Amino acid sequence: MRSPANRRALELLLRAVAFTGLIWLIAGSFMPHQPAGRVSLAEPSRLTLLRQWSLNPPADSLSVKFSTTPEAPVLDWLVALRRAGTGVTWSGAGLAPLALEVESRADPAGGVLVRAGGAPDRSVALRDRLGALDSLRLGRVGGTAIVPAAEGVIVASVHAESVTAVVPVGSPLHRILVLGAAGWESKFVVTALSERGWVVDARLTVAPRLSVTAGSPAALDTSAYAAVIALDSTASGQSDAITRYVHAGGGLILGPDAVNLRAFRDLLPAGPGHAVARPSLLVERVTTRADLPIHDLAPLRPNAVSLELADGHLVAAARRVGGGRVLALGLGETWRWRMQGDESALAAHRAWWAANVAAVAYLPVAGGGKPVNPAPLASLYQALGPPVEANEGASPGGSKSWLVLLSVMVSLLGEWTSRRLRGAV
Amino acid sequence: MSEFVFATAQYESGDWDSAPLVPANVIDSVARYTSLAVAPTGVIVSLGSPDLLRYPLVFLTGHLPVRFSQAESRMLGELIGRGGMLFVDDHNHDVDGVFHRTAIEEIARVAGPLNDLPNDHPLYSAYFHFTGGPPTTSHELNGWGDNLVHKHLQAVQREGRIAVLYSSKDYSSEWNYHPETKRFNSVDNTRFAVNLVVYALTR
Repeated sequence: MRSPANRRALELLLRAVAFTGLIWLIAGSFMPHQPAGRVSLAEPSRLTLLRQWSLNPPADSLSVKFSTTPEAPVLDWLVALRRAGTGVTWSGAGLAPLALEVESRADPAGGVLVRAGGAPDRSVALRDRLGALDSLRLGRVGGTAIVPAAEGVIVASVHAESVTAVVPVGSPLHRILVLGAAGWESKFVVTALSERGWVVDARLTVAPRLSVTAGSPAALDTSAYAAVIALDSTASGQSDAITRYVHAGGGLILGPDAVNLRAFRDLLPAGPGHAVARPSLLVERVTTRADLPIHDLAPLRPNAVSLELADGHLVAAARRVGGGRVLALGLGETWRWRMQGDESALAAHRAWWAANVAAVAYLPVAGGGKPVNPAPLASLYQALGPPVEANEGASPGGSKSWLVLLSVMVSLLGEWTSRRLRGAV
Repeated sequence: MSEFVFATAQYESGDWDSAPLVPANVIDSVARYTSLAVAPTGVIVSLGSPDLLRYPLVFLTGHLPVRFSQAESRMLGELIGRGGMLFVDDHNHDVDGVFHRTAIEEIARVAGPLNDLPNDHPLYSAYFHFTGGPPTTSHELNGWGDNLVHKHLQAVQREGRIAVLYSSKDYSSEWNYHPETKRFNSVDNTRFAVNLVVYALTR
C-alpha cells in the first residue's frame, strides 16, 4: 500500500465500516426485543411468560429447556410462536416418556382397562380424584392394569411426569351369542358368562337341523350382540352373517374346533394350526388350564398379535377385522378345568372367559376416555422436532452483535494504525 | 370335542347297581335320536371320588337306605356347586320306602330341600315335548309300590337350573331292559331320558 491515495481510500472504507457497525448496534439497542439465548422456564411461569412473548417476541429464536414434559397448552403456544416466525428449539435430557390409554371393560363386573407405555422397568403410579388406585411395572411393550372402579380421571405418573385421562362412560352391555354343539363345553361357557352377569343367548345343535336355544337368539347385529362365540363347526352355517357382523364392529371368539373351518379362514388371526397330541390320561385329569387339550394356532398372521403360549404352542391370538376384533383360542374342553380344578378353578374359568369376551366385545363408548394428551413426550417431538442441545441452540442474534462490535473495533484500529504509519494526526 | 359319558353313581350305602341296563338304554336313545357325541358305554363312578367331577351328569338309583359318607357329601356338593347335575330315581316307586325317605333327607342335607318341578319346566321340552309333565311309568299304572301316579318330579334348583332332580316314578325299572327290545314298544319309553341328557348339556 504505497500509494497515498489507496491508503486514504482504505482508511475511508474502514471508517465507513466502523460507523455502519456502530449505527447498527445503536439501532439494535432501541429495538423492542433482545436475543434470548438459552431460556429455562419454571413450571408456574410458563404460560405467563408465553403470553408476554406472544405480544413481544423476546428473540428471533428461542431455546427452551424443559424440566418436565410441557402440558398441551404450553406446547400449543410454542407451536403458535414458531408459526408466527419465532424459531423454537428445545432440550430436556431428563424427560421420561409416558403414554396412557384408558377404556371401559366390556364386562358386567365393570372395571377400567389402563394401558401405559414408557421406558421399560419403570413403575407407573395410577390415581384418580379420590386417591391412589394401583401401580404397574412397564415391560418392553408397556403394561396394563385393570382398575375395578375409578372416579373422574385417571392420572398415571412416573416421577415428575404424569398423564391424565378421563374415565370413559360405558354404554349398557349388549348380549353374547354362543354357537356350538350341545355338550359340556358349550354348556359351561354359557354358564360361566351368565354367572359373570352377561345375558347369554345360545343356539346349541343337538341333531341335524335341530337346535336348542337359550335366551332369545336374534339376528346378528352390533345393536344386539357384543360378541359371538363360535365353538365348533356348527357355526359354519352362519359364517356369512358372522363375517358381516365382525366387519361392522362385532367381536368374535373362535374355539379350537372352529378355527379349522374354511368359512372363517379370512377372519382368523392365526392358523388354522393343528391339534397337539397329549396323553389322554392328562386330558382326563385336567386340574389346571395348563392341562387342557391344545390346538396350536401357529402360524400367526402378520397383522395379528399373539396373546398366549402354552408349552411353546400358540393358543390365543387376536386381530382386527374391519371394525371388529377376532380372537382364536387353542385351548379346548375348558369345562374340565372348571369341574376338576382346585377351589379357585370355578372363578378362574369364569374370569378367563369373561376376559376373552372383554378383549373382543363391541362396546360403544358414551363419552370420556380420551386423555388430553395421551403421549406428551411424543407430542413434543411431533410438534417441535427432536431436542437440540443448549450449545446448538444458542441465539444467533447474540453472535451477530458480537461480530459487528468486533468488526467496528478492528476497522477503527486499522484506520488508526494506517493514519499513524503515514504520520497523520 | 369331548363326548357325553353316562355315569352311574356308586355310593357306599345301598344297592347302587340295582338297574344295570339303564345306562345302555339311555345311551342307545341319545345316539338314536340326536347327533350328540356320546360314549358307547357308560361308566360307574364313586360318589366320593374326585373322578365324579369328570361327569357333570350323574345317575343315582337304589332300593335300600341311602346315607352319604363325608367324602360323598363333599363331592356331591362340589358337583352341583360347579354346575353339574344329579338325577336320583327311587327304584322302589314308594314314598314310604326306605330309599325315598333317606334319599330326600340326604339330598336336603347336601343340596337343599326338594320342591315340585312345574310340569311346564324347560326339562319337558328340552328335546321331546311332554306337555303333561313327566311321562308316566308302567309301574305307576300297574299300582306297584306306593300305588300313586306322581304328577311331578322334584328338584333342587340353583340359579335357575336343576342341580338335583328327584323322581319317584321308578324310571330305573322302566328303562332297565336291553335296548334291542325297544323295537317292540309302540312308543319308546326312554325318550324322556333324551330330554334329561339334552337338558343337562344345554342348561
